[in-house]
Amino acid sequence: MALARQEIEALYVQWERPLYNLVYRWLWQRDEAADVVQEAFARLWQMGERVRPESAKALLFRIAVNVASKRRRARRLWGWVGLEALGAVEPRSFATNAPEALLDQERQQALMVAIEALPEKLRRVVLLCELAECGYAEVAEILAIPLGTVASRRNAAVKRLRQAMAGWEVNHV
Amino acid sequence: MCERERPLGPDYFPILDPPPGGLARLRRHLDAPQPRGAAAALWRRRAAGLLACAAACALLFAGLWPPGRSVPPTLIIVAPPPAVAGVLPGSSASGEAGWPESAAAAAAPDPLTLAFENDAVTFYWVAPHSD
Repeated sequence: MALARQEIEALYVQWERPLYNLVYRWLWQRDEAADVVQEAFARLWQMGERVRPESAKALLFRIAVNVASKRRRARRLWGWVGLEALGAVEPRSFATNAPEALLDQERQQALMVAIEALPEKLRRVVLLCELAECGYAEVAEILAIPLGTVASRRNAAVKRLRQAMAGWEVNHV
Repeated sequence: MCERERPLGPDYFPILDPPPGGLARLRRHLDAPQPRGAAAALWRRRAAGLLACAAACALLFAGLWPPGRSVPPTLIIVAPPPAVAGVLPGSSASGEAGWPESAAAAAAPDPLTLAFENDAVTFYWVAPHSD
């Protein structure tokens, strides 16, 4: 049975924010991340009869990750992205006063570089675990990989991120 | 959240607000009539691509074998790999029997060498020696 329009809209209200945050960590551009979220829902809608409501979330996240990944590859192909281009992306600062904002911005930049340095298979897992409100089983379903692989990749990614951010005081925000 | 280890949380992944108006944008998309014949358009584009490829091949062939020239473009395999040697008549691993002497006499050229001899185009393909 296909998803009704109301169900699509309900899914949007529920998952827009996690999807946006996930895709943003893929592309590091807000407008493009919003576009990818829209495209993911539009594709889900176009799939019509092939979508079962119980698997809609996994399908939605899989579409979003794949679309974001494809756009990222296309950007890399044209030389728009890469660590050398990350300076052009403005990391968001959450601090209120100026010195803290500067420190926070530098930390966000370091975090961005650390996430970018992760191999794609680790990045997919850790971002889904952290931002998609998914358990290991759901991540395994989204990425079509075994449960144990999800756990090991997530642990490896967390270890690398913590090592990369060891010099930063992460609790000051 | 992942069950077996504490999540990294907002220190590592602060939650951003998506830009406003996303739901309205999606509604506009859902309300818009879906493009009809999208699959047909895709096949038309593929057919046009094939046609362009065929035209390019025809132009290339016409350039290599213009009207009035009696000698067709020649493909000479100097040392065909064993799989090819068994198929082509007169061919052998050493490139002796059945092949023009000029090809056999040619010093082993680089793989996929393109040479022009007597107004004909000759491709020399030297496979790695397989003794």
